[in-house]
Amino acid sequence: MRDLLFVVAAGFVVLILQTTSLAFAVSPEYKPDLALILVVWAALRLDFLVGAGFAFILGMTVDMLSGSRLGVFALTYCAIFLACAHMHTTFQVDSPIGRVIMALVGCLVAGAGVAVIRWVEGPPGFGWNALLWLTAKPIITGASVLLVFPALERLHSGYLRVAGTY
Amino acid sequence: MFRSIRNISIILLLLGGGLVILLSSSQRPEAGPIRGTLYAVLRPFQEAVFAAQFRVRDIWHGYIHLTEVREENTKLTQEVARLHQERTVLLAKDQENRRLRKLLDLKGRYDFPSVVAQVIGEDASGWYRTFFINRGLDDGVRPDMPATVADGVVGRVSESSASVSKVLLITDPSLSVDCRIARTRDRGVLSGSLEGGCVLRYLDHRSGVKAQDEVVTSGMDGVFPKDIPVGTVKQVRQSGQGLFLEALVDPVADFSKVEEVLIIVAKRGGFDVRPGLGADR
Repeated sequence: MRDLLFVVAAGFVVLILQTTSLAFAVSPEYKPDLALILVVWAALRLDFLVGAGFAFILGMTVDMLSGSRLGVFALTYCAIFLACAHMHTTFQVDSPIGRVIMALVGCLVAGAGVAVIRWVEGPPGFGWNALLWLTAKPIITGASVLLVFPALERLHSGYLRVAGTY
Repeated sequence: MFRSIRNISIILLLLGGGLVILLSSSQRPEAGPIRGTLYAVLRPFQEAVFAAQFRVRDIWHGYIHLTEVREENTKLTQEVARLHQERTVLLAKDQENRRLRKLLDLKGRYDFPSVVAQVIGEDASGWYRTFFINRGLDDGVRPDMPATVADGVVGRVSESSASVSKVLLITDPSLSVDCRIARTRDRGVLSGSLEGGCVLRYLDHRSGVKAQDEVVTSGMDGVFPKDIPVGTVKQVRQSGQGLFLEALVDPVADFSKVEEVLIIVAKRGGFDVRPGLGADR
């Protein structure tokens, strides 16, 4: 329950950042997917049921706050959560490089999913720019893990210290 | 006895001498040789002491002033910072004023009922091209209503809640707009492209479309009013199947700078596309 509260608060902050101020630092197309990083963090740190539920709800919220069809990110984030949790429990992947790769691949999967849906819906006009977009965004997201993950860890441990006193 | 006589005589001599000098001294403005010598001897010392005195006084005043200047400097720095901040706010207000004036001009030009809305957020995922505005169903904003800026078309309202709406931009491949080349009046379907910008598809082979041609809305899709600028043709090429021409179009609106939009409030049945006729009249 304590973790759920933390992750919901973190999700709220991430969504606010994603829809407002993040574009000041990076172009909207290339801004890192902080929500996906949070899902990867949840896969490595949270109880499976709480994490999976959170990934689904967060994905659904991202769906509502973007131009995607409802369910695209809910399913994508859930799948990424499952894959990361599996990697973590089976191979104990929790090194910084491992986290970066998980976020990078997760973002690549999300981008590819969006591209496939766009392709099914109509001619999306693929080209070098689209290719650059599909590769640069995952790389930026992966690199952001190195900053966001330690921040999340610190906030979480601080939160547990405070929440633990009650 | 002798001593007192000597003292009295000295006093009398001095007084008498003084009286003699006093009574015998001339009123000439020029100093005599003795006075001149005295002045000459004293002058350097006087000057030195006087200068030193001034210097000491300057240093003293300088020290006192320095303290005051420091305080004044702090006050002035704060004042400059405050004025700078006020200037920034005023410049921002001025720019906002200009943008709103442009939108109001646009409002008058199109003669359609419209609502000014502020952009409050952008696409959460970054994979789509949408933004959020602070107007919704309560303000009469409904899905499929066109969003424009002074330069031209921005997009279309895709979802509305009571107070917030989502606008799908014309650079998103999911949005299609029926458009014309302003010069040749050739029609085509414009949609966003992942390559960047937009693509105007299904242009007739015989069309004389070329780079720098202006693209405007045709008004035939029942969503966008007629003749609103959309963009400029950047490049013309054959479509994949070779049956049509397609043109890469640079949108007129700079999406990174859009802060307010004008939502053209239309009846759900669409617009009367004849220019000058409002939808709600």
